[in-house]
Amino acid sequence: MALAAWLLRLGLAFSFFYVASASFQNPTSWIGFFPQFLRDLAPAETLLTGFSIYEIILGLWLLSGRKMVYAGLLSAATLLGIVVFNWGAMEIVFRDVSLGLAALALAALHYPFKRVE
Amino acid sequence: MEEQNTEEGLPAEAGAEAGKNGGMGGKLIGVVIVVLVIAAGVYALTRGSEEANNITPEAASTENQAAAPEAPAENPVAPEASAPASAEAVTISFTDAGYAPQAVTIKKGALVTFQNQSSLETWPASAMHPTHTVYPGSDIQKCGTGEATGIFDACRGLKNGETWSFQFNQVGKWNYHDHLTPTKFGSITVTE
Repeated sequence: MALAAWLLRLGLAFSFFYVASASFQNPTSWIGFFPQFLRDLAPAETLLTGFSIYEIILGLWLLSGRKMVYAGLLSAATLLGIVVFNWGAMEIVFRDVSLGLAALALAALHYPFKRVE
Repeated sequence: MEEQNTEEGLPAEAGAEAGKNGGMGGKLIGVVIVVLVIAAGVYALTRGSEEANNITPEAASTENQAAAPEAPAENPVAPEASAPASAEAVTISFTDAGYAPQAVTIKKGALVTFQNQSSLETWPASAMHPTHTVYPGSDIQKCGTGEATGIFDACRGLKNGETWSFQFNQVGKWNYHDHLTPTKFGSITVTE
């Protein structure tokens, strides 16, 4: 069980770190995933930078192993939110459905706030 | 704090915790259901606006076809079905609602021009996002190189009023998308 939880945390954290890094390197490839109402609110660079920082923090939180129920639920909300706002690009974001459910699985493994042995 | 204490105390009480887990399932399922309901709600709203948008390009592109001198008369807009095959140049308009007509059929060698009539920038490019490698020879890595002119990739965002053209010499159905908004897409079918 502990190995399963660790693999889930590592896998999710990798995903968040990768996107954060890639969006700095190729911002045009990632800006389109933000819903238009957000792109109307703030410049693309600000959105990408802000979201990348958020993803790095989320990734570090997952690796830390602390309060994994909340980390899992927040990760799931983030990933499934990406799916909902990019439903028309399901050929690209279908992986986020699986990742989101994996994040929910992580939360379930730790519920109610227990250490997975 | 309360949670932290529980975390630290639980390993030694695994048996007792197993009993509590019957109730935890219900709570977690509740959380999952709430998340799914919210997601479904947002999806329904998004879907609704998409369907509304699907109607707009029909009318808009019909007007565009009439107004655009380069638009061929034999390329009427058929939003649901693919437009008849054209050996001549075809213009695809990009509006805030997306590309119109969304699906076109052309003869091999025909020139397709993407015209931005939106307030947003658009970057038409071959599927898949973000590599653009489905159309033979295309690859976003070639943007900015000498090979950029021969690939199905605008390689930059087109501003309002700007156009970009590409000649299709490969037979097949080629999906494309807006690199800057991947939820906007279309297809070009090239026949002999």
